[in-house]
Amino acid sequence: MGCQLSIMYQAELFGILEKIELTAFPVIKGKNQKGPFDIIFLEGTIVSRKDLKIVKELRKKTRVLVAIGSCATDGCVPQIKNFMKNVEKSVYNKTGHLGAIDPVPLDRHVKVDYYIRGCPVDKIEFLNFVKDVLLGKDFKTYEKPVCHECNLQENNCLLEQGKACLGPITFGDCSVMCPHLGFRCIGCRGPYTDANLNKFFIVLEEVGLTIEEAKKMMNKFAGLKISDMIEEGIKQGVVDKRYSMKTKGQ
Amino acid sequence: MKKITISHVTKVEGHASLTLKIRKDRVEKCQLEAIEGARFFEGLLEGRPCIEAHEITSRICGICSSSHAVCSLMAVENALKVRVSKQTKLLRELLLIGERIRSHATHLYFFVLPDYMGYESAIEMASSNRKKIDDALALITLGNRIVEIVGGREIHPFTCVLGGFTNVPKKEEFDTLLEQLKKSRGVAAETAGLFEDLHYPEFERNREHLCLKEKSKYPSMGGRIYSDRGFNVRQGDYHKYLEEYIEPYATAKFAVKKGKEYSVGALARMDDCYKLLSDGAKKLNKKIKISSDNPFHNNFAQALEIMHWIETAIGILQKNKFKKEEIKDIKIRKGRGIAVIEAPRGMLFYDYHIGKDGNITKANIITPTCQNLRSMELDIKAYVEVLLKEKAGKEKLVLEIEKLIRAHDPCFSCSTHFLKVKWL
Repeated sequence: MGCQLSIMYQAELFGILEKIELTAFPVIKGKNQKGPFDIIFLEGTIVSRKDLKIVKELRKKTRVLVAIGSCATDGCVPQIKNFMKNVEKSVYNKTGHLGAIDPVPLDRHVKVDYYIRGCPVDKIEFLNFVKDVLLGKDFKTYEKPVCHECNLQENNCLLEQGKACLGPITFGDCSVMCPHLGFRCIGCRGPYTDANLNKFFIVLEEVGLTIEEAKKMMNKFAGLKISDMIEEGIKQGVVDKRYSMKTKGQ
Repeated sequence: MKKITISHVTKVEGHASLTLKIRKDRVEKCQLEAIEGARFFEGLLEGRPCIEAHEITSRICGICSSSHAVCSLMAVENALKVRVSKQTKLLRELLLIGERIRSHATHLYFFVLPDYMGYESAIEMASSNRKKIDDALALITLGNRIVEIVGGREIHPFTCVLGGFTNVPKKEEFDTLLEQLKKSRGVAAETAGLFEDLHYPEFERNREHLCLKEKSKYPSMGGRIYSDRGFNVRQGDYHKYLEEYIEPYATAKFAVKKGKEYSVGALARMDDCYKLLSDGAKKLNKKIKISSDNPFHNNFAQALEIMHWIETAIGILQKNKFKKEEIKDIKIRKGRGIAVIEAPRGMLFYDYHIGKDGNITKANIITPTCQNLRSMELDIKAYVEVLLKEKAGKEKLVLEIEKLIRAHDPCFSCSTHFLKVKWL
């Protein structure tokens, strides 16, 4: 719920809103239209059959669908459930009424045109997206890992200090805020496209993690997408089978 | 028989619907339903290292991410018997203060005010009443700035870890923040004036209010669980008195005390601890007598709290020097840890069982909205019956119900993932 509101927390946005017809925004607006829309910004993970139906209907009603935040782009923390058994029963005695499905990011079921990453989403990045749309520019996502910018900032490498940092395999453009203040990257912007996952497992083992611990670290925000990359790597013979990170269904 | 359904309550956090069945002037059924899907947070924690539990639970809700992170850290530390420094406690207090200011200001200006001023949204309000939005953004920016300086970013703070902080802000950062806090007292005073003058409905329903209580401090992070009806228990004993249950129509859980509903939040804190408010905040209460039985007064209570938290933060920054500090050593051990704090919307409970390998074996989290849900349903039922006697039309009825729901400041996203533990 943080992403939707946090993007409102900037004075500049209220000026820009005058140039846009904001037809629906239920967390802020009392009157909301039902579409069709030019652009929908969608937050959150699909966690129930009802969600799935809503997302599919919204996709049909919009020209452009933008996933905002880690939940929508990668499934965020709720998608951990794909790697665990009996989660539902430990939370609710009865679960039939919930219509729950294992949480997945939006692009598992519908076409997503753009991603604005992070947990939470960066409100300035969101604003830049809107400005690009108004200017008729194509929004470009940053295609380098966290480490790239971290090196430029001349921060002390946390992995070299023996801390399990996910910087090498995570999309950057976050101002490296966490490592800069001494906190390891936990991967909230999702897996960097060209990440060398086999080598990264070896690095994590070198800093003292067991393979199981390494997998738990990596399945926290974008486990499903990292799992896909690993399984593909195993198929192609570039990732060691010991690193297989299958979901419970696979 | 009349049926009223609000299928999507707007201008609240999370998604909820309401169904009412009315026969003559009586409400026969009132169901407030969180329609948000369940995310099973407590289940997800099982088998995860306790050291990173707060990284997961802060994702329950961005708006209250500091509260979830801090309360989770405290519960783990209680289980591992880690004692943090006074400075760590103060920095955590600041994180929570920033979040409370931001949360209250968002709720008051973006969700509540448009109803009373006759706008469908804050965005519509902005076009003719820009000052109101600027005031809101000034307070929100202040709250954000506190969380960012102390926690590393505005939402999901990350420098707060088990045993301390990975980074302590520099003196210059705190000096600038202190100036910003002092300047913000003006906007806080105007906000209190604005919300004291709103025409709140004169509706009352008797209720019990629970909050944390300490001798010399307004409710925040320590003390006992208290109500003015003689309830007074240790935090660690909460499970002997409070229980959660599920309704077949809801993904949220309802919390009750010995089978009876109670309320938490700003109005509860003020009801039980008004004397402990800062002087500046008390001075702002000029005209209305806050009625603890009128849920609409929760809005004014929140406005007063904004000033209280600004003055508390000023006090913390003026009285303390912050320096670089080592994070406490963590020794993994088996144990159970319970922590309770005041989140913006009321008491938040964390209860962890940790195995000897340091992984969580069981988790229970009770959020403020779970505790308020039953009260909200009873309030809606009672208020609708009052309105029906006054021959209110359907449109007025729906608006008034929505105002009442918003007055409670529910967060439905937080209410939907809670472990069923049959305590008692």
